[in-house]
Amino acid sequence: MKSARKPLDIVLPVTPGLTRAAHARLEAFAEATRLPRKVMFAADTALEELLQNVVDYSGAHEVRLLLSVECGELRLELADDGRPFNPLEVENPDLGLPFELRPEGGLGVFLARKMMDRVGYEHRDGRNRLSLAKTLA
Amino acid sequence: MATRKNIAGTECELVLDGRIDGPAAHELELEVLALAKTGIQSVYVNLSPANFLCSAAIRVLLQHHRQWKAKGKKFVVSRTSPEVDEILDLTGMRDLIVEKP
Repeated sequence: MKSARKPLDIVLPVTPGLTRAAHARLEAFAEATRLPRKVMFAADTALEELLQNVVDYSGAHEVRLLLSVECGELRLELADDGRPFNPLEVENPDLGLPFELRPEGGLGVFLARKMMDRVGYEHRDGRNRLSLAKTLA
Repeated sequence: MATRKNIAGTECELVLDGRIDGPAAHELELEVLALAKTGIQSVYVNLSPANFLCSAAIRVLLQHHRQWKAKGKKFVVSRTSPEVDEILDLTGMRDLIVEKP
């Protein structure tokens, strides 16, 4: 159905409830577009982790969220007006470290990157812009 | 997230149901801190009804696993769901905080 593939383009305020607001929008979008469960789970995890970082560290006031299904993949774009932060520069945690040495944090960005097939970043016009994609197949 | 506590003597099964996102991880932290002030010696976290687990929740689980162990007490994940399994496997946390049957 053509209308079910209509992109979602919204701006959300950065508040402690941001991740839940975004999750609700993603869930509605996933239902309308009949996203496979696995794709929804991946996008849900990535959104949760990346947006929680925005809430906790960015100092941003708002985030623009764009969701679309194109060329056989789910595409997500996030743009916030916070401090410049490139999550692709965050080093992956060393999963081989023994128990005593494993850090308790640093897993969020790693999870987001592992869950999605592609993650890109640029800082343009005063905004952090993340683009993510997950194939539907 | 909904929580339920089944207490028997000094053991507690903490059942976490639903979505364990950032705000829920904070609620979990408060629940565990409250348990630490009681005479409970062993906590078994049952994640079998959980359908989502974020990194903030993993941090809470690992942190308390270590703290309780250092005090000679026990804080482990006893049961998981497929969604939780996927996240614990990806982050390499399963062997660290999940009790082997």
